[in-house]
Amino acid sequence: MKIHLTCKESVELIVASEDRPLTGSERTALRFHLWMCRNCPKVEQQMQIIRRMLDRWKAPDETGK
Amino acid sequence: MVPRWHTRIHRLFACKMNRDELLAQLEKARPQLLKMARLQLRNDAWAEDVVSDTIVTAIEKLDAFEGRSQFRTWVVAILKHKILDLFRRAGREVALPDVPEDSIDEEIFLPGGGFREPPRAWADPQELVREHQFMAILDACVERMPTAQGRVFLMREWLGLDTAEICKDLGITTSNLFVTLHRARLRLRECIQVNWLEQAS
Repeated sequence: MKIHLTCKESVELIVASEDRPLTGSERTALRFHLWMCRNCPKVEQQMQIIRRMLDRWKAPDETGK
Repeated sequence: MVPRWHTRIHRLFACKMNRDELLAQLEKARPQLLKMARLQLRNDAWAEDVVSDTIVTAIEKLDAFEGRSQFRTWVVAILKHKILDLFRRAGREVALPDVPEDSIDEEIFLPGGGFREPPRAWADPQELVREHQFMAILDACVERMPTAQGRVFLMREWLGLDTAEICKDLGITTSNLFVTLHRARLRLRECIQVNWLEQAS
């Protein structure tokens, strides 16, 4: 995998990491991109919020909703 | 000393009370079960069937409920089991032979791979009230997902299956599954983005 990702490729990896482990070089390329990009860290933050809320949403019983 | 028969009747009575209460809880849980079954199956007739089936099984097995978990959790587990059964029996019929067209990537990105519109940071729903608002949006957005995406997405997120299991149950290829999940997650994000930002401002 190349080291310079476009935002589209970077988002693809952020999203894919929900369903499969990223390879070492994918992780490196993603970290590098996130470090220099102004936009993609926001998508990463959004996906983290979605992850957290999805975990509650799917198990309302355990959280006492 | 309390006579034996007394203890026994007392126990029988307590047991019956418990049973009636559980039956009432079961009736109360029905709308929620139906909602989840509809979301997962995207077919009202199947959802009705599978929920009726779940309730019958729960009543039959009521004595097996030991109270170690919450009652609703126990019933939801039966429902999930029934739905999984249905997918395994009808997998190829409910699966998507081809990945349906979806332009979500083109809606978000320019041909060169940059954003059409830069994403904005979301307000983190820390407080309980905001969390409820976010949950309501999440709910509506999952409901709005296209059929195939919604099914696969909930198999992953609600039934809790891993990707290999989903491929096997639905008879689809790994790449089809990943494309579908990718689009489902992007659609969800896009839908929340629109609604959550409106709420936040």
